[in-house]
Amino acid sequence: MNSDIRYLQLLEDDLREAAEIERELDAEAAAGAGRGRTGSGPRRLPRRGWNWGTAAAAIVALLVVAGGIGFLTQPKGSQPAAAGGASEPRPVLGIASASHQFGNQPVKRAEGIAPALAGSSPAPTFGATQQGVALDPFDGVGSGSGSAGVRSTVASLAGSQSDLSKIERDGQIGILIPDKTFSKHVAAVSYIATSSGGMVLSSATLNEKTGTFTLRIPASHFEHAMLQLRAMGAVPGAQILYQDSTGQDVTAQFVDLQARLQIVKGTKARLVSLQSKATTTSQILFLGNQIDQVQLQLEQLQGQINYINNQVAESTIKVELREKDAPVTQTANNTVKQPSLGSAWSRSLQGFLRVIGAVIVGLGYLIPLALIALGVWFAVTLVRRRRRAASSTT
Amino acid sequence: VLPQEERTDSQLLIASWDDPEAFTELYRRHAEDILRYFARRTLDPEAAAELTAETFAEAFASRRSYTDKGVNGVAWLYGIARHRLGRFFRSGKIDAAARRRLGMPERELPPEDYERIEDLIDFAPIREALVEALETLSPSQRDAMHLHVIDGLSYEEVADRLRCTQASARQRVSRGLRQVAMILQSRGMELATEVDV
Repeated sequence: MNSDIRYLQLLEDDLREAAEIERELDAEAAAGAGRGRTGSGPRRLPRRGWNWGTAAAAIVALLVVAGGIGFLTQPKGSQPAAAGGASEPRPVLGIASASHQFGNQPVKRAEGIAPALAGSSPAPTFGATQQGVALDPFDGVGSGSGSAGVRSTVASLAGSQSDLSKIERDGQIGILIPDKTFSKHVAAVSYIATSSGGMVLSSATLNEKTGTFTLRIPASHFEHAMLQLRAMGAVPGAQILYQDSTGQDVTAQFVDLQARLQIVKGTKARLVSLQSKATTTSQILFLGNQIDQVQLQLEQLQGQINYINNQVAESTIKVELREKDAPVTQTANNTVKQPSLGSAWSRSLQGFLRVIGAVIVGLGYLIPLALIALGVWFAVTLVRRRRRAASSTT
Repeated sequence: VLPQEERTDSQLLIASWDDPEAFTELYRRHAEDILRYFARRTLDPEAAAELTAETFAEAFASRRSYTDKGVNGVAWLYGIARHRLGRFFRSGKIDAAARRRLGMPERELPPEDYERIEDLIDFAPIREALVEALETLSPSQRDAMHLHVIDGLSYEEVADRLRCTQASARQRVSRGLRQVAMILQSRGMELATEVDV
């Protein structure tokens, strides 16, 4: 070392040591691998000071890019659900299945579809076995005349109705429609509701491009109406964004309420009979109070039965229509109903899973590109090193 | 094959891929110039020494990325130095990542090197500007710098005048110089000319 500066002399020693370490690593690699390395390949010193911050930043950047790609590559129709975040989970069914069923029938032929489908409208039927199953839970309910009353009640119900099943049906469907056809599709939705014997309970539209509609349809026409709505999304230029139908069997609850109603009615009849035979004022007052309480129970049960009948008699279908160029906005239906910690947790979980899903999708795009880039980089590096090696020997 | 002393800087850099000793020859040729380059711009012996160490460590670690495009190898070295200096002026800190990667220790500047490096700085051209910049320093730093840089006293004499240890005197001068360098740099004042490469 020519310099008399001690620091520079020490630095030269440090560089020599680093060079020695590198040489040893090369020798170990050549001996250990036994692949006859020429020494021109890439060699790395031990990374004692690995920069974890940089590595973490790189990983975060990669995930953010992957997430961005994932969100960008999502079908546009699925974005409002992510943006709104407050709607119920919507299982998106394949468009192919809808197309498979309905082919390319245009929307304006919805009228033509209706009669064709009307004949196939399935009325849920349950045979005698179903009725027998429905009765089973009431074996042993009450005793003596009470139990007999339950059985007679159910028997009378079975006689008065061909179908004991009580099922609440709800559905929702989202349809992406061609531009400037919003009014036509609104008319089609209204037609489907009225032709099914129902009505449009409520509606909300925005800029004549998007809208949500709540239909109340007689339960017997639920499937019929859903089929017609799905047919709207199966025409060229349209797309079913999501569709979902749910059913809740409340038969057991209904029969239970009916049985309890009959028992309460019987009790009331007996109390009234006793009251007519009462001889003292105290007996009359006591029985009067008892009758009032029984009457209250009777009305509560009747109210619950009426509610179930109403829910079962009519189904609710929520329809969302959106033109393809409509801006993605949060419609009134996406507002949070009954906000609570539970719903907030549920929505945050949905958001988390969507982000993870988007990142995975994005990585699916990035990894092949990264492999190609790595291959190109390796080839270019190899060529450059060979050129350098050639120039150094000359 | 030419002996190392007769090789050009570019040839040394390329040869150092497989013969790290060639890099040592490059270091011997340019270490003091690089140190002077940093010292004249930072006015801080400690910072200049650290930046020199980091520059050579980074050059050694990335020597395989050097490509001979007709530019002298030392220009590549000064490119790294300029990059390091820019980062230092932006952040006020000296990164030791390259040294850590090579497993090199972070050494303290030996006391005897302070005045030797300050000789490299050559304070004469900037003495007048320093007087103005001194007004921005704390009294203790200003006094230490005044005695050492303007009056030309040694650290031992500065320590005697200020009734402090020599280490403390060096620290005050070093920090004061660093601050003055940053202030002058922020005002666009050129502290030293570029090294011809």
